[in-house]
Amino acid sequence: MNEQVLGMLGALIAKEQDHALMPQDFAASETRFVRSSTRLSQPRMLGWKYFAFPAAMVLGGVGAIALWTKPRPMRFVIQGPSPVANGNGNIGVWVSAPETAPVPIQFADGTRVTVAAGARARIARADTEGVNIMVERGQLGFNVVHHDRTRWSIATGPFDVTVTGTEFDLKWQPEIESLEVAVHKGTVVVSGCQFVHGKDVRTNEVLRARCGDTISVTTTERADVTNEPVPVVATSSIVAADEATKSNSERPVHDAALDVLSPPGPRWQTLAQKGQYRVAYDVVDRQGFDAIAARASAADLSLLMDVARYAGQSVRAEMAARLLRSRYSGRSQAAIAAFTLGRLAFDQAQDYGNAGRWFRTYLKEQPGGALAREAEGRLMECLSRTGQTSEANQVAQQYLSRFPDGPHARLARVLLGFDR
Amino acid sequence: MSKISAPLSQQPAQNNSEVLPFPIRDSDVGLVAALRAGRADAATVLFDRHGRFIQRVLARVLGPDPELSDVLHDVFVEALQSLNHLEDPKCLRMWLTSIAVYSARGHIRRRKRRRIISYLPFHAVPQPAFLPRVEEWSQPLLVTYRVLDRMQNEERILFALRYIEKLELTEVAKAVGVSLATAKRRISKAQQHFFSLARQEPVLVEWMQEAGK
Repeated sequence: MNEQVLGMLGALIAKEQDHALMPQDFAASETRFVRSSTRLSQPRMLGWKYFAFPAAMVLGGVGAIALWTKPRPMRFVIQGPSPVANGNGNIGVWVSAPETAPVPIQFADGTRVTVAAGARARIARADTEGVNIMVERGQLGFNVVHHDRTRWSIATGPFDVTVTGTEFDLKWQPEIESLEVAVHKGTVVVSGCQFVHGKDVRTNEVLRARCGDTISVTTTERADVTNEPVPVVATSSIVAADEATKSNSERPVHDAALDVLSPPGPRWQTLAQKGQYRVAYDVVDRQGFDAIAARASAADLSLLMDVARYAGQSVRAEMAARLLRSRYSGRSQAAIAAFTLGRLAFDQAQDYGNAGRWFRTYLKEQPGGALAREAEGRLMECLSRTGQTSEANQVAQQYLSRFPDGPHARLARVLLGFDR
Repeated sequence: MSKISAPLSQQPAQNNSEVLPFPIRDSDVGLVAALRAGRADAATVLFDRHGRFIQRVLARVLGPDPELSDVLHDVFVEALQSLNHLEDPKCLRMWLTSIAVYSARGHIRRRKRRRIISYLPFHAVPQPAFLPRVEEWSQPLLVTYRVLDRMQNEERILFALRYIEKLELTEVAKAVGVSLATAKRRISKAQQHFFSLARQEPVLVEWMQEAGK
């Protein structure tokens, strides 16, 4: 046994661990951290040592009590066919319902949760003090039995839902980052994103929200007055849908209540896809560019970059592009962001040195990409404008061999002395 | 349909000027500046840029652990709260690694204490769903961490950082907060201790003999 063998053993373990660390778990950790980071105050200014002794005294006293009041695990049983990753009753259990059938979960306190077909969730915590369920996608039906000590909460994307003894359905669609909550009995509180102080959703109310985007609150009986600028509508179809749902008591998840929601108002993404960049930018601006950029997916961030650029907001376009580069490094959108940064430096700042570096980055990351011809042509232009003649000639030769009829072909021939 | 507007006091003030945030630079210096300025998007960038590495470091040190994501979360929360202690922003990654090592050490200590209190055998510790079940890990991995469980925390951390994560000696020294010479000496000691314990494990003995051929 020597150091080389130890190195091999270490490599084997590292490889196995890397394979086991799932990307979705990393994404969940990131969401959790980003959410909690907004609640953190400024960095601590006083050293821990000033508080260590009093804290130790207090903790010593409290410690003994805490041992006696330690929460006990709450057992639960996952019923029906389900390719769950672990056995019943374990914390952290992952429930992935098959596409054809729902998966009911029965908790020891009488609460019943139904994971609808195709939905996925994880039971992050289950003890006598609280139960926390993280919903990755799809619809879940809840029939929570309220106990004084047990706090029920559900985490979905950027939102948290706190339950206070109730019957409701929840649907999370990560592709469009949409949360829908239909409460049949009792109250839940939705927090996160625009709901800084929490939003109550009561009996017979349905809430539909996207982070920082359109919200609708519909009700079967009355329009609820809120402090937020949201359209409040009374929808008769909701009543029918709700009654139809209630009549079918066997159905574990009330699909109808959620499906009848009216579509949301125009989203900035929809406006941008229609080419209405200025209007889209106005919507983004009203909702907060920083907040949207901070939570955007790679595709949304790429679209946001285009929206800002076409709306003439080059500083914000640059900000979105740099976020894309840092957050989604290695993806095609990050390469396109490099091209955009080059174009902004070229067109807006006339900073040809910087622009050239970004075009080179694009070509390195996407040598056969859709923008390769444009990037190579612009790179040649940058090199020529900054007096780097030999490099410019080299790129000109490459350009002519790859794109003899390209828009920069004439410049290439001039640089090489073929044309005047 | 009726529309209820927010009270005037809640509407944003109309203003012709606006302050635009400067994009976070690719460097850690820019990122630290943004974090210290309280930029909302800086925390996301921090986690994006360093989260995977820190997650790996924790996995190496802790082994299969149901609370890995909790410890990862704690490391970044601690980092945000202690940012004023970071002297050189260029060393952000190493600084995060040292927080990760510190958190991992505390977690191992608590884990051992809990195991004693709960009288749980090794295999009875619940596994998280996102990691394979105990029986799904390879035997060399399980036995290696069983051996590491029997070593002192400091030795375990040094061993994991050096031989599993394969950090440079200087990086290991910085991560555990000792001099290079001390790190070398302790790694050598950890290696000897590991070998002496590994000889009692038939799985490891067999694996190492195969690997040594």
